[in-house]
Amino acid sequence: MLNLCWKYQVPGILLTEKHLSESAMSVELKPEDIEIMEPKMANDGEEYLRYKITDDGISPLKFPPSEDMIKWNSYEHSENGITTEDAETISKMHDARFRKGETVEKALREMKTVNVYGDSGPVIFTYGSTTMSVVEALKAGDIEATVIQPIYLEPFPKWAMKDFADSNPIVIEQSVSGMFANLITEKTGISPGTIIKRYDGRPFDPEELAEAIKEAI
Amino acid sequence: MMAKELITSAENTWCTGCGNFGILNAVPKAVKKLEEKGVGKDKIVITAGIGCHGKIHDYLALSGLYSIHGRGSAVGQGMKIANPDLKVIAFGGDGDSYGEGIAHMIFAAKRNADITVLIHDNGAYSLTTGQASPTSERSFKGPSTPEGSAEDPLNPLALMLISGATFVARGYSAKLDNLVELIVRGVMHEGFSIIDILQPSVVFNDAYDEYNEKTEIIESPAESVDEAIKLTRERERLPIGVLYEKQKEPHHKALLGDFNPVADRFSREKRLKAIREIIGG
Repeated sequence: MLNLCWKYQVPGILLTEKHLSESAMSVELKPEDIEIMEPKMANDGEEYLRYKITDDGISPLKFPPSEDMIKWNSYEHSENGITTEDAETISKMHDARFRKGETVEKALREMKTVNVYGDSGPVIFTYGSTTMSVVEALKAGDIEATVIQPIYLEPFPKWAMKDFADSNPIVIEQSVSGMFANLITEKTGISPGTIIKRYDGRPFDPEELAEAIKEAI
Repeated sequence: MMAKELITSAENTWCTGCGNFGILNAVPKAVKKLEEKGVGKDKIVITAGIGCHGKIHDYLALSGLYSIHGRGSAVGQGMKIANPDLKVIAFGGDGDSYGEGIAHMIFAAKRNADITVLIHDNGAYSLTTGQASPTSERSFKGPSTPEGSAEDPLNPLALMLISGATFVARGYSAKLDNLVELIVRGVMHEGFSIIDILQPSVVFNDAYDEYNEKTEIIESPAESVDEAIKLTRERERLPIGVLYEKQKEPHHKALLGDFNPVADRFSREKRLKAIREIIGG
């Protein structure tokens, strides 16, 4: 994710949770496999524009110290980073950011954005550490199901969910309002048959969850 | 280099007679003097919060980041830690840096972050038509306090002094030469420097007469924090100049020594070696 942030010059939010952060596990790291993406840097010799309008929405980077004026701006701005209230420029900058969103989505389409466990039975959508609870519950209850776990929530990998459009899925999440289920419906049009929720500050118990899944099926 | 080369072509929307113009005049002159001292303008980065003061970010042809409300001092600290070779000037307003951003100011002072904070202190939220700010006088009338403010003003410089600031000054936007000198000294000071600049808002808090009458340039700083605090409490006259200065190791030196995360950036090989050492591979 840090690679994507660096390459596309966007902030990234790594969602985590108490259950994950309080669990310890071992992973094997292969340092030489770590890929480091390089950002698009500006060429010397031309006037530097921090927010240069480009086809892919990415403006080349340059850092101080530099003889060029490099201005970042939290207000709406012109290409040179100076605040603007000009209607045409404002629209162009919105378009540029929107194009960058499309560029990021295009890159994500080439990446693994969804984990799928199993290939038969009813479809279950879940995310985060709840995925592990669900996989354990299926084992505990000897249930056959296909578990879909999006790894990215924004951009939401809707392209990877096309096969499950009519699956009438079960959604399992740690939330009182069913916000993950709502997100799925908003992004894909898929409406869940059942939502299994828990919101007492504790992870799902595999056996209890297995019973709830059986009931939903 | 001419000072006017440091002004962009952005349209200036401050009110005619606004004290902010004094600060806008002072900074290019200070930058010129800093160049004579070997600090090139390429090494100077600026940042600002939100308010009328923040517009100076658009008007000065210097690199930087126009940040969000009260966060100029936080962003400035980040710039310094990222590349300690840079000289950082963080512009702020009294509403911005003494209100929402006050915690960043206290901690920047506490850790002696080597940045220079210039506060455009006009005692009102003038960009949003003059609401009472943290430094508004008691009884100040504005859209949010139509019957007059029921609160006493904050003494920001006393707060900075007890928080650990190592360079504390007060300037006046209409005393240009003095202000230029304060900015140069603040930037050259190694550690946290704050200059509270009295800056009349002609429309919402026109204090020119009072400041012209009461401001008085002091020749040398106080000997101690306690003495400096006394200077900040004076009401009959308003002492202008460096109120307190002390040498102390700046935050980036305590944290990084002479290491510069940009100039001394680790190669991929060095990073991988460090990771291998941690995982024992």
